[in-house]
Amino acid sequence: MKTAFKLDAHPRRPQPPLSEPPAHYFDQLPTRVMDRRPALPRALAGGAAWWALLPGALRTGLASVAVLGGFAGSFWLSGLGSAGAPAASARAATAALDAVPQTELVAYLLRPGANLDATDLAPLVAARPGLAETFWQPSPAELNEALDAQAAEDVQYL
Amino acid sequence: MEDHEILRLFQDPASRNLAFNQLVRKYQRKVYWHVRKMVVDHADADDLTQDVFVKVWKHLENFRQDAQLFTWIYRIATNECLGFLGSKRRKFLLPLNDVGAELTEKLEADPALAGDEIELTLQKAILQLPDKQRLVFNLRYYDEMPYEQMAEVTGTSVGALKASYHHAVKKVEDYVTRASG
Repeated sequence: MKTAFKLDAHPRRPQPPLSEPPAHYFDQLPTRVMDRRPALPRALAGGAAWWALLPGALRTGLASVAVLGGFAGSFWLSGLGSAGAPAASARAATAALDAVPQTELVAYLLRPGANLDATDLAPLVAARPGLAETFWQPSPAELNEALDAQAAEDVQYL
Repeated sequence: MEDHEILRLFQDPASRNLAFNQLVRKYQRKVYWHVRKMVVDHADADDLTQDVFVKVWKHLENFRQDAQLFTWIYRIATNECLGFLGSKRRKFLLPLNDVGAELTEKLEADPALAGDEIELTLQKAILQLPDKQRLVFNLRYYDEMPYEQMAEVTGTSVGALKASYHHAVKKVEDYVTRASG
């Protein structure tokens, strides 16, 4: 019959009977430990001292917020500049066009070789009769003829 | 040198090295054997013992004297051991028993245990315990540390430690009984 092992009945040792460390190990260990020590952090000057006192996780969090804030700020500032630019550009173009005499504009549009003729102007004049009166005064018959010459699908999209 | 004297000297940069050297000399054997019982192998125990004292050096300035110095050092050593064994499992994707088997191989190769069958079986039985339970067993059985002090070292309640030790003893006794039958 098996005899149950009882720990209390077993002779107790102060430590397991493992082999001893090499000779003089404990004489040399303090020197080896002293050689491995890193330098302790020195006190940081002025403004950097508070940063060193913060826990590591908080320091990482604050640094992330600062970087993201920088990105957001630069994005917002660039958004302000680019949103104003098209409006200013449109205003300048309108002012430049207003400065050109209307006769010159008409001469430009109706110059030989320009692809603008009575067929193009007819739908505008039909919608707003006085629009082209300074440079084109078609009779009702001429206007109808110009309108009839236009393709139906083109008129639809005017 | 008394602990309070070591701590007082450590606060002064001029005597810091002397104080730390005294601290290492005072506690090196206890730390080494505490670690060695957990990792068995001398080379691993040597590395870990040095790591423990390097950590003590780094953090001693912030040591709050509401705990005993040695309890605090023991806690660092304990965490280093558990971290070492845990990382070994993660590194090699080993299940719990394989690290136990590796430690058992080292134990069997140790000439100090050659010929002492019952002691070798007892040591093998202890190595079958999970790391934390083995730690509790070592602190209580070999170091005869009071449960209150063990609670400070392990961060576990006295009741839980008593239960853990009771179960550990039962497992060890069952293992040795089966193995010697």
